[in-house]
Amino acid sequence: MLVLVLGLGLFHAASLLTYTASLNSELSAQDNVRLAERLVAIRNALKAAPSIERETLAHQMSGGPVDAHWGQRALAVETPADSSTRAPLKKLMTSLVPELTRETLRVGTSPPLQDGAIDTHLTMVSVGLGDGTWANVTVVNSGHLHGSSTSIAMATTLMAIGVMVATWLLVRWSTRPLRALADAAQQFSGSALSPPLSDTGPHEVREAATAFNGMQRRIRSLIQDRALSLAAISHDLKTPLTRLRFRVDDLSDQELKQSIADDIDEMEEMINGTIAFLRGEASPEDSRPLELRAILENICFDHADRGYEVSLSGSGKGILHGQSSELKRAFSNLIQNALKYGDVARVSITDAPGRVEVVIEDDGPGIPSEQLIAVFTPFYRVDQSRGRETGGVGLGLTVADRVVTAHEGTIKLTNTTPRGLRVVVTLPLAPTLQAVRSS
Amino acid sequence: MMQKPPQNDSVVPVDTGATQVLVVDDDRSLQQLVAKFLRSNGYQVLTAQDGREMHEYLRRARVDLIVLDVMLPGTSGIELLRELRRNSAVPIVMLTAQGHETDRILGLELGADDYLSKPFNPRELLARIRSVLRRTSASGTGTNSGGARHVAFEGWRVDTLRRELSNPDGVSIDLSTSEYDLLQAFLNAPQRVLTRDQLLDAARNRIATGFDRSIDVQVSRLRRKIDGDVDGTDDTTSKIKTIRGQGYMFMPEVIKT
Repeated sequence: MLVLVLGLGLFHAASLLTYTASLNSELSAQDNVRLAERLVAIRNALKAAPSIERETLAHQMSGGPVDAHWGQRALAVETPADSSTRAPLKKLMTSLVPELTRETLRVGTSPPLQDGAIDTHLTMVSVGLGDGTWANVTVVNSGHLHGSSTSIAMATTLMAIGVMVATWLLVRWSTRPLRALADAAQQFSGSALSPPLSDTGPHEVREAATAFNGMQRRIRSLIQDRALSLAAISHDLKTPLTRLRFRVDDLSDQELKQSIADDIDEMEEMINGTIAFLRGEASPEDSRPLELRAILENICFDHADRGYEVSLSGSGKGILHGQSSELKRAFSNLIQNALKYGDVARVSITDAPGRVEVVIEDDGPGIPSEQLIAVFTPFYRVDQSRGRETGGVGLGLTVADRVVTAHEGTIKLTNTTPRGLRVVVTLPLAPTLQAVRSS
Repeated sequence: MMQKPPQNDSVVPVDTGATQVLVVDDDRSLQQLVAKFLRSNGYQVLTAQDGREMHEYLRRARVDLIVLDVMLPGTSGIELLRELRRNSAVPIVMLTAQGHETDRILGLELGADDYLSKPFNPRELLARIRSVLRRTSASGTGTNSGGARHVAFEGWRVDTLRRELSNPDGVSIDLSTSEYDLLQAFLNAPQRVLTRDQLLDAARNRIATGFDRSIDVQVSRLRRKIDGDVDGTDDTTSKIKTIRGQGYMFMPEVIKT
C-alpha cells in the first residue's frame, strides 16, 4: 500500500513538473512570436505615419500588456543579464525585420527609477524607426500573465489524491479475500473446526480460496482418520486389559501379581490419556459452576492415600464455571507429572480478584528452559535428557493446556532454584457467583 | 483360551438357589473369566453373547442381576437396557469401554443400577455387584437412594443419579467415591447415630484400591466440603456431629424429592 502511494505521488509530482515546464516554454514561445509580430507591426505603422501623428498612433496601438510610445531616444537599457532571457524575442524580431540591427533594436528593461531600482516585471523594447526616432514599448513580462500555474498544480494534485483514495479502496477490496486467506491459513490447526473460506472476491482469489478449502478438507480428514484409528485401538485395548486383570487375579505369586497389576494400571493411564487427547475440544460435558478446591482435594487425597507425597495449601475456593471431569483430568495430569518427575507435589490454591491461581511445585530436575514451550506439543518427551523411564505417552501437558485454554485460563511453567518445576495455572472465576460467595 | 465355550447357548444349569448372575458380553474370553471369578465368589453364573441369548435365559431361568456390556453385536447394550426396563426391575450393572461421563449418565438415566468402565478390576466388579444387590434388596427398587432422584439438606442438593453435590449457590462440589458413599449413608439415616463400622461398610462399597483411610479421615474430608471448613475439624458448627464413643450423626433435615 505504501509503495502504491509513494509511486503514485512521485509519478504525479514528476508529470506535474514536466507539464508546467513544457506549458511555460510553449506559452512563452508563442507569446514571443506574437509579441515580436506586434512590435514589428507597431514599428512599421509608426514608421509609415507622419511624425505629428506618431505619438497618438503609438497610444492607439497600445493595449493589454503592451504600452507603446514614440520618442527621440531609445529608452530600453540592455544589461548582460538580460541577454539570455530576452535573446529569443530579439532574434525573432530580427528574423521578421532583417534591417533591425544591434543599433536599432534594444531589448532590455525600462530605465532605472529614481532610487536606482529596476522594475523586473517589465521588458522594454526600443526599435529605431530609421529616422533617428524610436518606438519605446514596455511589455509586462509574460511569465506573470500565466500566474494561474499554481491553481493547475492544486487541481491536478487534488485529482491525484482522489485517484489514490479510490485506488486504495479498490486495492483493499480486492485484497481483503487474500487477507482472509492468510488469516485462515494461520488459524488452521487441523483439529480446530475452522470454517471454510467464502469464495468471494476477484477470480484469482476465488480460485485460491477453493484450493485452500480443499486442502483444509483433506488435512482434516487425514487428522480424523488418524484420530479414529488411535481411538479405535485405545478402545479395543480395554477389553484385553480387562481380561488381563482377571487372569492376574489367579496368580499365586503376589510380587508378580502386583507388578503386572502396576503395568496394567500404567497402560490404562496411557490409553485414557490418549482418548482424552483425541476427544479434543469436543468434550460433550456441560459447563457448570463448580468449586475447583474440591476437585484438587480429591486428586491430592487420592494420591496421598496411595502413598505419594502430596500436599494442598492455601484457602482459595476457586468458584468457576467449567467442565468438572475435564478440569479433573487437567489437574490430575499436572499433579501426576510433578510426582513422576519430582517425587513430590506441593499444590496451593489462591483466590485473587476475578481469578484463581493454582501452583504446583515439585523437586524434580525441571525442564530445560528452551523446551518449556515445546513440552505442550502432543507426544513431546523431555525424557531423553533425564535418562529415566517414566512411562506415559507425552500427552499430559497437551491435554492440561487445552483444557485450561478452553476455560480461558493460562498455564505457565518455570524452573525453580535450586531445582524443581513450578506450574502456575490461572483460571477466571465466575463473576456472579463470586459476588454471591463474598456477600 | 482358558475356558471352553459352553456346548449349548441356552442350557440352564441346575438352580442351586444361590444368587444367579447373567453376564452378557460378546467377548467369549472375558465372559468366561468374569463367570469363573463370580462363581469362585459364590454366585451362580449364566453367560450370553448377545440380546437374543439374554432374552432366552430371561425366559427360562431366574436371574437376580445382569452384567451387561454396552458394545454388543446386533442390538446394543443400551437398547437392551431400554427394552428390559420397560417391564423388569432386575438389577443391571453396565460395562463399557467408552468410559466418558455422558455415557455413564445416559446408562444410569435409562435405569442401569451401576456402571463400570473397562478395564475394571475383578474386586471392583464384585464390590459393585454386592452393593447393587444390597441396595435393591433393601429398597425393593432398582434405583439409588430409596428411589429419590434428588435429596436436599440446608439448601444443598444431591443428584443421586449423577452422584453430584451442589451447595446452596448451585456450585457443584466434587466428591470422591468414598465421600459420596459416606454422604449417602448419612442422608439415608439423618439424625441417627451411625457407627464407624456402619459407615466403613457404606464407604467400602465401591472402593477398589487397597489403602482405605480410617473412617475419621473420610468424615473430616467430607466435613471440609459440606461445612466450608478448611481443616474439617470444627465439630461445633459441623453438619456431622461426633458422638463420643459411638460414631457420627448427620444433623440437618433431609428432604427427598
